Amino acid sequence: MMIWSGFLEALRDVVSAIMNLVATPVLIYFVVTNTLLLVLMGLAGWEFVRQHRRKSYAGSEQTVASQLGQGVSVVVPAYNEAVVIVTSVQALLALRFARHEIIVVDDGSTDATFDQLRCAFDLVPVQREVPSDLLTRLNVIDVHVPRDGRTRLVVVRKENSGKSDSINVGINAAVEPLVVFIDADSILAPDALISVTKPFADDPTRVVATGVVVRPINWCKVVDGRMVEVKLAKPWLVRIQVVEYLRAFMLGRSGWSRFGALILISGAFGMFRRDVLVEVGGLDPDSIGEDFELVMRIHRHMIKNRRDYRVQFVAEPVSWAEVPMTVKVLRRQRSRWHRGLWETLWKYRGMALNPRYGRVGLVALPYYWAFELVAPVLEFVGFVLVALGFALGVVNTSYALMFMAVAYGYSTLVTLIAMVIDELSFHKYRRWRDLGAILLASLLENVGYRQATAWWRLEGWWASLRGKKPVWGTMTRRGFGDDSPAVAALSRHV
Amino acid sequence: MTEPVKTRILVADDDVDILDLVVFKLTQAGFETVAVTDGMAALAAIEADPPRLAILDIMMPGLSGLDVLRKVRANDAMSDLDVILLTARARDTDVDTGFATGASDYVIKPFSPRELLHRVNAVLARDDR
Amino acid sequence: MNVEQVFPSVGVAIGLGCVSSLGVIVIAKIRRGLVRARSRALLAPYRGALITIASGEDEGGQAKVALGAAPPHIWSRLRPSVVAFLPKVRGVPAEELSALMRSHGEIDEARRMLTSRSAVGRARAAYLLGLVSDSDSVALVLPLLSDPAADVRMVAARALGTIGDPSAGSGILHALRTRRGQIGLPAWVAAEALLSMGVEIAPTLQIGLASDDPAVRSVCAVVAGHGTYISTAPQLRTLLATDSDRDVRAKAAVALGRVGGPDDAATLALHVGPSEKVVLRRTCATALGEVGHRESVEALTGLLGDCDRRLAELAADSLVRIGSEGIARLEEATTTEQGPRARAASGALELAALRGQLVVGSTGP
Repeated sequence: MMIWSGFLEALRDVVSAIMNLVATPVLIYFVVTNTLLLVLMGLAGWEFVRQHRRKSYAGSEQTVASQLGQGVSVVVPAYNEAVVIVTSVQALLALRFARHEIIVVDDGSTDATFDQLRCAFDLVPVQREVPSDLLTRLNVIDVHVPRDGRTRLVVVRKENSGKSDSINVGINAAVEPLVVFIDADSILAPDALISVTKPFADDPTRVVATGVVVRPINWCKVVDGRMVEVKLAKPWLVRIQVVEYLRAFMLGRSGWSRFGALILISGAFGMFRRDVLVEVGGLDPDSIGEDFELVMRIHRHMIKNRRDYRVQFVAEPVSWAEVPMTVKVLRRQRSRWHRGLWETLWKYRGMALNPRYGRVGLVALPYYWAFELVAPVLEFVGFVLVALGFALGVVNTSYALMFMAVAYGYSTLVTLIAMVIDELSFHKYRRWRDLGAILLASLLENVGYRQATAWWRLEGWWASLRGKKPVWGTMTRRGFGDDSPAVAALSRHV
Repeated sequence: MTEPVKTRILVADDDVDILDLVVFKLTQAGFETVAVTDGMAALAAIEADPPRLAILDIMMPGLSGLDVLRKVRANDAMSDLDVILLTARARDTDVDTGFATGASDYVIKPFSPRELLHRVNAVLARDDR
Repeated sequence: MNVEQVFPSVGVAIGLGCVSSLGVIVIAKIRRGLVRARSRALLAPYRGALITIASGEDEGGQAKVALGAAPPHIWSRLRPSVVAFLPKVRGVPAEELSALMRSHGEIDEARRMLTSRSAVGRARAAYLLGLVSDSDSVALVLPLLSDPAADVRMVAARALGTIGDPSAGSGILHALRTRRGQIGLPAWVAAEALLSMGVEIAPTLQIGLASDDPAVRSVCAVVAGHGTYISTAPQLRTLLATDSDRDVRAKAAVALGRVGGPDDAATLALHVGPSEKVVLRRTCATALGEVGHRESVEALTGLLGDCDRRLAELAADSLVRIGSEGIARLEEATTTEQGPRARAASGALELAALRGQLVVGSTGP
């Protein structure tokens, strides 16, 4: 009894001491974070309005009929994707675009991935050499094309060496000047290629990379690999992720793009100029946040060489991907993302606060350091401290409430504003029920989800600092609207 | 007095405007039409009840018009179906591919509905001979 | 700063913000639903008439009358559908739809909007004038090629291309230049616009090929090749041989492949050598396939073993395109040689066989 109250006394002192130090800074941190997010959202909203108005004179028919516009190579790395690969490739071939090819890189699949493709497209082996513009780790086994010799599909088989290396092989095999990386289970809107090449078409000399928002797909009605109806998923875990994606990925990144300092492009759908990819050396197979790392490398390369360039974000909802449905998989994903974030930021630490690197170095990187990397620390520790302090009587009610307001209330407000912008520009969720569910999800996010993801992110960071080897996650795949799950061991990056 | 049997034509295009337009034109000209908006439905319709002629858009959801054409030509029961491709893909290589895959004709968008009708009649007459 | 004092106002501000956001979302959704339902109801009777005109079946002119008489509040909802049809049809339907737009004053309105203060307004206006191919508006659209907004410049160029008046050609070329703060018109937009202007653009091309701006020379070369403007061949030869800009030389090579004659095979073969830059070598290899002729065959066969494997692939494809002589050389390479040359050759032959391009009766692997 004595020991217990003694322990409590000591704890109270410790917490009290810490709180005296950090009470106000913590509040300020959250106010600043959310306000900055609001600013980014403002920029994004402006951008959306602009894009929306452009539609009335965009002339997509002309673009599709274009004779001289640049072609696109769609690179699809595939490991054990037998369930979805055929539907996916068929849908990709049918995309509305003037000129594109599909390159599937079979990363040593052990299931029927290749057989499915061979059957569906009547593939025959050809003696086509894959150039070595980029260094790749393992050799190509063989190359197949459809028997008619005209369908623009190329299937390259190689031994298993991971997604990044496979993408590099795909880049080597690509013949068009623009290359896009797509996960095998991503769904694209019919005009996706038109949308994502628009920045390149408008400014061919400067734009080197574009990124596209990816929305969670787990429960949309998909027919033949094309989105037919956007339905909201049933599990609350997925619903919360939908909300999170809206706020963080779509609007956050749009804002950065408008500001001219976009440093992160979703791995599920990014388009790059092939020559630039070759210049910088393609994806780094050893990096965990490989999409982030690639974009940073491009920024550094272009700035060092004093090139006038742009990296842009396309805000239209044109791509969907599966998100984790179980806590276990979500945990692994978040932990891995944060680890990738840390390692890449650390690798390019020389660029941060370096005036030589313009907006990327002076604004974007410091922001990512202060508000993305460190955020989970403050979120988690702050929450623990306040909860503990409140329980111990160190922290009074109004402080506790203030903390909630600033950390969670303000964040919910930012989320709601994100939804306003989304509703006004894209309004993809038709049913009232879905809208209500989303609103509820944005509230629920603060009750456990945010704390949990903060903890998992810290886990990832700690694992990296300890030098633990990274573990590639598995994701149970639902497939396209059919209920037979398939286990895939492909790292998921969004 | 029996009515003459109308020639049935399948039209597949995911663009509802084009679909309505072509269907209307053909109906006015005395054809019976079946309209679908994607490749899978087109293939299913052809397999279920083969039409006399099919007008296919190339860039459609799921299965492209070229894929449908290929599957039709590969299937002995349907391989003599006349197919006209109606598409925005206008490059020489696309036209080559269209004909090489087995199209009876290739019409580029933007198109003249009247010209399309002439071509439909021409393709039908060619085969009737 | 005392937390107790600040908290109420902060809490209220956030709370108010949340509630008003919710309100906006709900109201926007309701409004959209209402608007959509009303539009559908209003427009349903007119859809049939629109389809009749768009398919060219409006012999009696009734549909035109019906749509022409649509009151303004219905026309404003109908307009997007009409505009949607315009880029999809040609011939009489397109003319009638344009006439319909004109009868509702859209063309006059568009002409006025060309000088609007809003960039979006200017762009929309130019787009519409291009859609209806209003040749009387060319003079009004031309100034938009130097509009401060990049979007407007692009739309104006495309519109001028659709209208097809060759007098706009030089204006479009001029817009290629990058001026202070204004990026130039993208090359492919200019090229496509010029391509749709037909034969009469040849003089403009000849002037452009001699321009001091490499972007202009490059675009003119592309157009010369794609549109097969044979009169430009002499200039293209000069550009290929002596131009200071790499890109211009590559584009000239491509163009020569299409408009050049047998003599050009030798010139192109010259630039395929290892001392030239990668892009030029590759474009010349492809161009040799287009030009054809025996002279090309030698040069191309020599490239099969090159260390630039993509170049070897292109050379092999070109040999296929040349025809029986090229194919014979490829077959020779597969049977008598080993290593990279044989691989490139058999790769191209395989593809050709799949496509049915090989001469009937030829013996091959």
